[in-house]
Amino acid sequence: MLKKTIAGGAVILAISFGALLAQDKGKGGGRGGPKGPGLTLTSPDLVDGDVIPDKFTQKAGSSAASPKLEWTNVPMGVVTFALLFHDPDAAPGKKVEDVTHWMMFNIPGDAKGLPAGMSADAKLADGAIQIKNTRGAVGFMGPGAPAPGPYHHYTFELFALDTKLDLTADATRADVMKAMDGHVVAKGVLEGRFHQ
Amino acid sequence: MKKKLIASGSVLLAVTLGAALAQDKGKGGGAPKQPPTPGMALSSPDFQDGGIIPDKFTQAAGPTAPSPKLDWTNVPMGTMSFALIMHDPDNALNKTPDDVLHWMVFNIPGTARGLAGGLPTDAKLPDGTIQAKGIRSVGYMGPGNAAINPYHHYTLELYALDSMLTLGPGATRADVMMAMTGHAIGKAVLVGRFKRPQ
Repeated sequence: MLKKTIAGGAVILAISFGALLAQDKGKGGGRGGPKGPGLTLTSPDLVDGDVIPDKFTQKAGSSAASPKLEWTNVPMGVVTFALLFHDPDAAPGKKVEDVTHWMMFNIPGDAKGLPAGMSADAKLADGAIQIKNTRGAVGFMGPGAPAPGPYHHYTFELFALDTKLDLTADATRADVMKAMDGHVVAKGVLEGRFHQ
Repeated sequence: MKKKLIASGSVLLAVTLGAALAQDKGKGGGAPKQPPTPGMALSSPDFQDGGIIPDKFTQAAGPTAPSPKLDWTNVPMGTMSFALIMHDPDNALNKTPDDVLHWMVFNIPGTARGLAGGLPTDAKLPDGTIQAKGIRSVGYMGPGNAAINPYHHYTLELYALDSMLTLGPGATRADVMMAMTGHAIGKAVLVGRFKRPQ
């Protein structure tokens, strides 16, 4: 009996260790199954790591359109997605929280992307909710880094969640991050650079 | 007297507003009306911003691959120390929104304008710099993303601080973030992408 327990413990340990390593080795795979590629976020409107075209930035005005986004390799069991678009190059008010350009959650789990030029409504027809960005407005705020500075690194982070978030459009970025804790089954990132 | 108070209040408001705007218009800028100065910039001679990190700085070269050389310019006035955090936002550790910490360095002297390549993995360096643990160990952990995955976005964030941090090598990432709050007078970012060769 004792032997069996020890053996069982070792199996559990081995599985946990395997799961931990899987994070490094190949994210999207199901437990124990062959490891598939991790959640992949792309846009036909910008090249990953490259410069974001002006039409999606504040150079095109304060209501520039959001780029089209697409994602693939969605793991099993995803109930909703959340999207955060932020600029890590700034530390407003000497604080460590950077600039929130766009945040959205409760995007349906069967969605495979977002169309370009998303509406700036807090509640969308499919149940998705958009919260306020750093400017205090709902929806997408295009990149606006000043000309004399270096490129800023505008980062889209897509969170695949095993739950729907019980939050409203009044939620803050911190509220959303907290609500996602323990529910992030996969992540995908796309990064574009910009300055005026 | 009351008028004077109101007047100085408006000046304060104007200065504060100017400072707030400066963040958007040109981070390093001093008083309003002066032409904006460029924000702090972080670069590496070892890889291009937004480009691919060469294998020699990654786990493809083994677990003790050297850190890339880093350079920074346009340091804001009054910088006492720098902190550097390298992380991989493409992972969600144990279903939390926390990503993978590859490297954390703080109390880099305010006079520094970069870090040498292949930085030693000691917790305390002779110039007072402290390296805390990443998710694996003290010092730099190279990118290790699997070949099957999309590119991960290894993000180096440099904070210019108006203070030293009263923390030791045992500090966690959360400890460092909390200690920096209210002291980050400049910030610069460099991103390199990587996945292992097939």
